[in-house]
Amino acid sequence: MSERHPPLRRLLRAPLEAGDEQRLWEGIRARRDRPRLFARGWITAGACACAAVLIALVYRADRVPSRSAPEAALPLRLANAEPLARMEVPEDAAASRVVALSDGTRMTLAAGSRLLPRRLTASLTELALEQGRARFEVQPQGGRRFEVVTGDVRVEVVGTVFTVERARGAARASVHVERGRVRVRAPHLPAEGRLLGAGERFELNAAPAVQAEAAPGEPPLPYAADDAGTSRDTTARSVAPRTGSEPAWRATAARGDYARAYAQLGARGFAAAVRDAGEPDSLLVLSDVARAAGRPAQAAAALSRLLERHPRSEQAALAALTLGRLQLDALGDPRAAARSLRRALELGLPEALSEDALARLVHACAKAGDSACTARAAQQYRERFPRGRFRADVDARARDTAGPDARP
Amino acid sequence: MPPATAAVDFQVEHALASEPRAGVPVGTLGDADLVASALAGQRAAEERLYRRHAESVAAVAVRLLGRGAEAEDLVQDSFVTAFERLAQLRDPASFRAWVVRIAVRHAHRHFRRQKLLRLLGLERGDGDAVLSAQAALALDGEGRAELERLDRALHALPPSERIVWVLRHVEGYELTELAAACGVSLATVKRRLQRAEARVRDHVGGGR
Repeated sequence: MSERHPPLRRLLRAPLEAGDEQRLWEGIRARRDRPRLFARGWITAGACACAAVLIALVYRADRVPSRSAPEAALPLRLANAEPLARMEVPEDAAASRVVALSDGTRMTLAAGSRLLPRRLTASLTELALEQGRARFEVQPQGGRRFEVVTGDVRVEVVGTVFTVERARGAARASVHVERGRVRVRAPHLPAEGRLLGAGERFELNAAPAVQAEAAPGEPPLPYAADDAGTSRDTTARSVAPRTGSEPAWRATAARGDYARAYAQLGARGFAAAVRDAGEPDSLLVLSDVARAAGRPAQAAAALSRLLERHPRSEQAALAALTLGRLQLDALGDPRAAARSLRRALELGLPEALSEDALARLVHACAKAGDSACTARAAQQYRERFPRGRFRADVDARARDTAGPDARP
Repeated sequence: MPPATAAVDFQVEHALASEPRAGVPVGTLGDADLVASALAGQRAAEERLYRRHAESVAAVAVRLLGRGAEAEDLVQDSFVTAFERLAQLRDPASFRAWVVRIAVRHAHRHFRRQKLLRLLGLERGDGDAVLSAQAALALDGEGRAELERLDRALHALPPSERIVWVLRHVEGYELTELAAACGVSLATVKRRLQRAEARVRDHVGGGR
C-alpha cells in the first residue's frame, strides 16, 4: 500500500510566508506572558468567564460609542493624526515599512512598494497600490468602506487581513486573503466580482494603474462621487471624465498630493476656498493642503474657521488637535496650543489620538512654563495611559517643570 | 527529565545570543537542552524551540485547514499548549514529534467543532479549497485542477483519514512519524492510510 510519490508539497507554497513566523511568535509570547490568575477549578473558571462576559459587556457599553463614533465619522489618518499621503518604500530598503492608521488598521509595505491614498472620506478609504506588495490588517469599520485599487482591479474589504501584490509594470496582480473576506472587482470579472475567503489567493490581469497612465503635469484624474448608491462598475469609476462638481485641488488632495493641490489653488485661491468652504471636511482638507505646502498660519486659519463655524461637527475634535499641534510645533504659541489641545480632548477624540493629544498638552503646558497645567495634564495622562508610549517623556517634562523635588 | 543546570542555562544563553533570531537551524544545542532551559524559565529557549519547529507545526495546520486565521490559531494553540505542559514531555529530545502530535490533536478538535457547527447550520463549509488555495504561483492550470479534485476527495474523508493522507502525501511523513503524530499504533495508521488512499483514488478517478 501507499506507493511513494514525491510529496505534493513541492506543488504548494511554503506554509509560512515572510513575517508569519515572527507574527505568530508575538501572539504566542503575548499569551504566555498573560498572567494566569487561577490555575485550576472549573467553578472558579466558570465564575471568571461569567465575570469576564459582564465586564466585557459593561466595557463595550461604556467605551464603544465614544471610541468608534468619532473614529468612524472622520476620514482615516495616520496613527499620529497626520494626513495620509503617498507612501513609498525604496527598492533597496532592508525591511518592510509598517504604517499604522488612526483606527488601528496596519499596512505593511514591502521594499519597492508604492501606495497612494485616492479617496479619503468618512465613508470610504480608497488606496491605490501602484506597484509592490502591501499587506493590510483592516479593522472592522463602522460603515466606512476600505478599498484597495491596483490598475483596474479593485479589492473591497470589511475587517480582514489580506495582501495585494503587483510587480512594477506587470500585467498581473494577486490578492491573498488571510482572514475575513474581500470582494475583487475588475472589468473582466462578472459584475458581482469574485468573493475571496480566508486562505484564498486569486491572480488576475490588471491593466496599468490609472496613475501610471497620466502624463506628467496632466490634471489628476477625477473620481466619482462617494455615494454607496452609485454604480459599482469600477472601470467607469476610475476613468470617468470629471463632472465639474469637484474642484481640481480637492481631487488632487484626495490622492494625497497636497503640495500640488496648494499650487493649483494659489494663496488667494486658498483664502477664498477657506472663506467659501461650506463643509467642515473641506476645511480640514484645506488645512492639510496648507500644512503640506509649508504654510502653517494658513492651515491654522482653515482650522480656526472650522472650529468657529462648525464647533459641534464630527471634525471639530480633530481640527482642534491639529490646530494645537500647529500652534505648538510650527507657530511657537504653546498657550494657544494648550487651549486647542484641551478643547480637542473635551470634544472627544479616538483613543489613539487622545494619547497623542494628552502628551502634547503636557508638552505645551511645560513649554508655556505653566507647572500646574503640566502636572494636571501629566496626571491625566498617567491615569489614562499608565503604560503609554509617551510615559517617559511625560514624566520627564512634568519633573522638569515642577523642579528637582517633584515626583512623577 | 534531566535537571536544568546553570551550565546548560549559560550554554543556551550564549548560543542564543550568538545565533541569528529567525529561521536558521541551530546546530549547537539540541532540543533536550532547550527544553531543559525552557523548563527552568528561559523564554529565549522557548522562542528557539518555536523557531526551530514552527515550520513543521505550520505545515500540519496549513495543509489541513488552509491558510488563514484558523491555521494561525492552531499553530499558536499548539505551541502554547506545548510550553504550558512541557513538564509532561517524557523525552525532551522528541519535542518536535510531541508538538506535532499536539497540533494534530488540535486539528481533530477543529474538525469536530466544524462538524458540530455544520449540524447546527452555523458553518457554511466553504473552506474545502485547502490545497488548491496553496498552489505554487508557477503551477499550471492542469496542476491546479488536480489539486481542486484532491480537495474535493479529501473533503469527503473522515478527519482521521484525511489527516494521515495529507501528512503522508503532502508532507511526506514516514509511517512511524505518522503513528507518532496521530498517537496511534503503526497498524492503525496503515489501516487508515489504506482506506484514505482507496477513497481518494475512487473519488479522483471517478470525478474526472
